[in-house]
Amino acid sequence: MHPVTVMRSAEHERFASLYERHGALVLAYARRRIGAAEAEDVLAETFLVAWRRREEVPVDALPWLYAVAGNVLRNRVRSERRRTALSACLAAESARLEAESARGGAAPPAPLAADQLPADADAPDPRLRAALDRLRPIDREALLLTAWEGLSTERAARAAGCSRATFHVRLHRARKRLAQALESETR
Amino acid sequence: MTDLMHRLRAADPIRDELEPPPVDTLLARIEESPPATEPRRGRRRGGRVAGSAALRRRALVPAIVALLAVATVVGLGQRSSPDVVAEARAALGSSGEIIHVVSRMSYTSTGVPELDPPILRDEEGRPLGRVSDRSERWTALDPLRERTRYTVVPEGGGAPHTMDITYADGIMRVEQSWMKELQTNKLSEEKYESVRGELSPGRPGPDPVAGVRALLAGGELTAAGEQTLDGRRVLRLVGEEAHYGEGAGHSGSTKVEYLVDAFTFVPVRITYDDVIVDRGRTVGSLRRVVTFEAFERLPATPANEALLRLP
Repeated sequence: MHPVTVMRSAEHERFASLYERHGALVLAYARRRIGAAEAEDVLAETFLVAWRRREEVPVDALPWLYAVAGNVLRNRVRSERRRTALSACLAAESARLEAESARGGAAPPAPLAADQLPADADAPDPRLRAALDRLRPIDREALLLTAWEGLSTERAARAAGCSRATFHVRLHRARKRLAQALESETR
Repeated sequence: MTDLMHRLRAADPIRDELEPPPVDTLLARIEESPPATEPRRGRRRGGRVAGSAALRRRALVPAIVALLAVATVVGLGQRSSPDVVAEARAALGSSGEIIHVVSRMSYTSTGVPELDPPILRDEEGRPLGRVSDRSERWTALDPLRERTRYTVVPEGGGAPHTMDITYADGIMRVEQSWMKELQTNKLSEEKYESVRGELSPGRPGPDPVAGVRALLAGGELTAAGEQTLDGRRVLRLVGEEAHYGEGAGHSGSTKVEYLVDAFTFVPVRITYDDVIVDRGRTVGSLRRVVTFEAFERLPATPANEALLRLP
């Protein structure tokens, strides 16, 4: 076999092994944040990035993969925002035309769901979810990386792209804010 | 607050392990993708940087990739936060001398695959070899000047390639024996030290003696007796760096063992033991051993100063 073929096949094998080890966890990460319909796309995009940057994947690959998946999600949010903004423009224009003819008004565009957790009627503890939705994304992510992804502070910091000390502070602040948000939810 | 984290964990909407689609679909997409998607040094997204600046930046990418590759190998698990930069700075020796350190890093692991250093490639994507586990560094202060030499060992044998990284006058220079062009980048000392922090073998910093003393003074290491290593009396110093995984319901730590010369405090060997935990389950372990082959302080003579510059 040609050496290049051998090398490629070894690379494929390593990639498949990376996917086997972490695919389910990255899929769960995406499902928690974007819902079932798009989660598999996020998973695929994340691992395609991992393939393209395969020489940069560290030994402890999971936090790195979460960081990539987070970027993929944020890109999707941005695209969604642009698309929604365009739709809102079109809707506003059409509403203006309608209003001109019927003296009516256009309903304001619905808030973007992408900055919140996906709607899930079966999710446990809806009050907690509502409180989570009220947090800033950066605070919510600190909580979810540790509580739902189960990462230690050090690994979660790597996934969040900050130092451990920064992440510690962020997590502490997020917990306080979540407690406050819950308190106001129960009032 | 702990109740809150318990409640949060209980609210995890994913209860059971998910079944991702088979990897074959992804592999098929990879196979279909054109060669342009292969990692190539020198490629850079975005076209806003124009002309010679773009060329310079493009030329620097291979070096940075190489640096990151080395960092992945050498600096795994080491902290790169500003406090480490400060530690490294504090650990530097006095001015008027040059510190020369030769060190070697080795790994053993369970449960985590692929510990081989990544293969470096040239501009055309051809494999050059793997970065050697041995590195050599010369450092001087006031102002900071430094040179580090790495060796890239070809897989199939043959003459090794070298990569020299120097820093002086706010400029980092990278010379790779396989590239004609010298790569330069303006960096503040702090930024450079942050890069170097990732590349440093072990936490003592460029001056291991000052570094170990600083760690001892800071209470980060405690003495755990004396022993003989290869006929040399060494002090055993141990420490533990805890990771508080409160949210994950577990905690882990990196155990550190320093063996230093009993008389001079020169580090002889540093061992880091990590436990790799995924979702609260221990899945493997990683041991990194840094062996110091040489440590010396050289007078800052013109001949020795030349060691800080590219050859």
